[in-house]
Amino acid sequence: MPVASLVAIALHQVPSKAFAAGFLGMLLAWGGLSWWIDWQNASLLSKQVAVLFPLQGSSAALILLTGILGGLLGGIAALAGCYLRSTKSNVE
Amino acid sequence: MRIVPFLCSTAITIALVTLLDNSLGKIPPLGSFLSPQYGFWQNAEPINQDYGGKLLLTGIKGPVEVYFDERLVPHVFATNEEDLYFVQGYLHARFRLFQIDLQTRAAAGRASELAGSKAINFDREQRRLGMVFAAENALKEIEANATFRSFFDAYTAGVNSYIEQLTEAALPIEYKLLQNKPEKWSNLKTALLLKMMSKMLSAGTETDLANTNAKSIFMPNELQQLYPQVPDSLLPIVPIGTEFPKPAVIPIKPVNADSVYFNNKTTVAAQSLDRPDPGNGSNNWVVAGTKTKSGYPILANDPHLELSLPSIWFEIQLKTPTHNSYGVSLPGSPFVVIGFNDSIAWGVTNSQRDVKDYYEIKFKDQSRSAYWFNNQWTPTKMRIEEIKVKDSLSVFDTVAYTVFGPVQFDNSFSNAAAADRNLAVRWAAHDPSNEGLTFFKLNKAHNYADYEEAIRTFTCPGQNFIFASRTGDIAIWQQGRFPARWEGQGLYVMPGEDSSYLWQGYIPQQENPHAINPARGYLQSANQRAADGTYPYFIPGSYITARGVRIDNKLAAMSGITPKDMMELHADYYNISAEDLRPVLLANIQEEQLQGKELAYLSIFRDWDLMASPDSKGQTVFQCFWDTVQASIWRDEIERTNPMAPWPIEQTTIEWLLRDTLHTYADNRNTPAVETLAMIVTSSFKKAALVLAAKEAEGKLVWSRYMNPSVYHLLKDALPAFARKGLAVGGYGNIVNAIKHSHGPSWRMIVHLIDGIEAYGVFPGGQSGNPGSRYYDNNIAAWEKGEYNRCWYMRENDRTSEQVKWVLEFNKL
Repeated sequence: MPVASLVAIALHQVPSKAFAAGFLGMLLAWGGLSWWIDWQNASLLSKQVAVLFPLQGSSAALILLTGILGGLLGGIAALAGCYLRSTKSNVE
Repeated sequence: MRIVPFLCSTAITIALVTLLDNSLGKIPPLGSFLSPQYGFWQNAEPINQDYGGKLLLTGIKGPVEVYFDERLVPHVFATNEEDLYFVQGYLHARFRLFQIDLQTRAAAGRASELAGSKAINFDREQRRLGMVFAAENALKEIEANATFRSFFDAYTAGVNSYIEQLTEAALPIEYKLLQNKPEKWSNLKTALLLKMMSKMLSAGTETDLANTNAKSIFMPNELQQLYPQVPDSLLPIVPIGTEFPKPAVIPIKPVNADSVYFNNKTTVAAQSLDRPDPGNGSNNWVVAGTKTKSGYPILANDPHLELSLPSIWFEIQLKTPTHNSYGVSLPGSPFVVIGFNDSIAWGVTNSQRDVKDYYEIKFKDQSRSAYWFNNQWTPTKMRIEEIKVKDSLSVFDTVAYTVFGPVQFDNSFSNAAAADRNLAVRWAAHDPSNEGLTFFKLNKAHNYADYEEAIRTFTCPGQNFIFASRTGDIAIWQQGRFPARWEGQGLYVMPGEDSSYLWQGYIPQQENPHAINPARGYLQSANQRAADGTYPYFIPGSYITARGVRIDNKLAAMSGITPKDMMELHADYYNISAEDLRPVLLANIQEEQLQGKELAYLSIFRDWDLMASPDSKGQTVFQCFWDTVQASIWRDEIERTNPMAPWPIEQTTIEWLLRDTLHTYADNRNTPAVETLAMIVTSSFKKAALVLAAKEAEGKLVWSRYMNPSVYHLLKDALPAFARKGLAVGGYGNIVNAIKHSHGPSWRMIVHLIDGIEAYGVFPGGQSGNPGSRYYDNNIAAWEKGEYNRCWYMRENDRTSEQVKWVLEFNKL
């Protein structure tokens, strides 16, 4: 999330694009990492955690949820960064 | 100006992160829980995880090598004992940290710290039973022995060494769910864990409070009929015919016992909230070389406990230059508890003896600061207990300690009806003792003399220590420090106003029931009464007779025994109680009154092979029917008081029926008609048939579907996903293969004492407590099928063997 904010501060973007970039970046980061961990674990744990949640024991749904959650956090953080940048430039 | 949108989106970010990171009821904090870098994903171990490595640690003296085999059993090779137990502590923490932390917090009455306010009453009861008091007394004894203390210190340092390097990502998943952190280990926690075992095995083996209610409604002769001390069909641990020496201690019954104790008809409303399962039993047996094919003894043990994930046991080999032991350890405590070395093998079952009594206390006033004892007001010792509660304020409780022990029930802790009664508890587990010393010595024992010396000081919970040696000796001792009671002492709440009802002494250790190298060539224990009626002491308890009879019958008939025969006996599903009962029940069923489904169930019962196998329908019909018969006979009697008198045990009812003398109790007191046994049996069958029909409609007429054998996670229903349910096994509490829903053989071990030792073991779980590890439940399938793992008893020259999968090296920093 701090990364998503920093990127959005550093690069000039319109808010919707900043959000999309932050969302996509974190979606890929969290989704990808959790998929990789899950693949190595042969879905042993995700199948059980996806019952706790409840996601009917679907590992894929849990990975997707992880990705979307990461994406939301990243997107909103990027949005904040983007607004901070425009706030700064207005002041200047 | 875009300051407003900036603030807004920042606020949303913060709100989202906060919301997702706060536990909303049962939902874990999503943000941190789902984070792939810190959350539960980090607990998903790669299935080809490398458990090896090199560790540089302070607190260790020299190099220690841990060789893991393919089942993740560590074989620890140390140069000295301190290092050995340091590494055992480290490994217990590495694989079972949440378990040891939870169990010892619960033992100390601190479950509310993890579970919140719903655990407050559980915690209060733990404190009022004096669990911490007991552990502190044990710790004083443990720490008085400098050498022994150094082993506990090393174990504690090992646990803490692991905890200290633990990162947030590596926390066990349960902490991430509960948002808690592990606590540093201490010697007191090890003592608490042993007291948890004491409670499990010796706090539920009496029914003094319910007995007191029984006494208010039944005449003395009825009490003897309903709650007899020695069952007819008992095959005791000490073979029948063994002569017992004259007792060295003869306790004296107080002169007023008849008037103020036996004939006191006052009921007691207090009841324990968390009563250990009296079925926490076990089997063990040993056959001498005269009965085996090899000519060497074979020892078998299967402790029956609550089945949990992670398992209560952790398999391990512990080796130094002077000893080499293998078996299962209790995470939270050093040593092998049940196992073998290159000279001997040993196992334990529970003695089921009553070592916990209640005394009625008269306080001077509401302050509870003084109580009437030996004709004067005597000050109590007050112990103020702070119970910390998750997400809430602490709860305080004050427990008054008397000469007998803590006052467990008084007007601030009991059900409303019991408000005017103050009951102090006298429990053998409160006495200073060092049970660990026995296991330490057994790990190193070479022969019978060493074994006898090792178990001599074992105090509580009383255990049946079975033994076999390479040199051909077999033996069993029922060992514990047991009160020498006068006839009837401690069956009911006793007067607590003077010293006359105190325990007057203990049965001398040498007089504990035991047997060595009997001519018949075998010994067995299965929670039955240790000795027949000729044993010169009064020894009440919660005994189970049936399994011992079956095991004894089988062992007596066997010869040329191999380990495979012993495996078959572990797996035995024969229902010996039903063998006795079926003819009596069938003779009393008025078949002409049955119809439709009832007749179908009757023929299933009649044609049943008496096996409680997983696919048996006969066992389901029998158990459902028999439970209904017992309830129909006794409920109207024992419900004459509230709370109820104890249910007569199954064996008593069986023997009544076999003697055909149950008619006086058969009549239901609550109906005008006079019911006969045949009427009761028939109406019970009809009632049971309704239940069976409902079960059949759900597809649950088959025994394993009816019983639903399951292994639950320690947090039970809070984490159903971490449980393993619906296992395809049969059995029951009265059957050798004693599986009951979530209770049963928690470790099956067979040791053949040939040169090099041939040993087998299995428990329904795995070495790792992590649900994200393939070693969380990898032994369940074998356990379910009645299969065993061959225990790899490593020797010095096996260090380079191909059976070593990973090597974890410990070195001094």
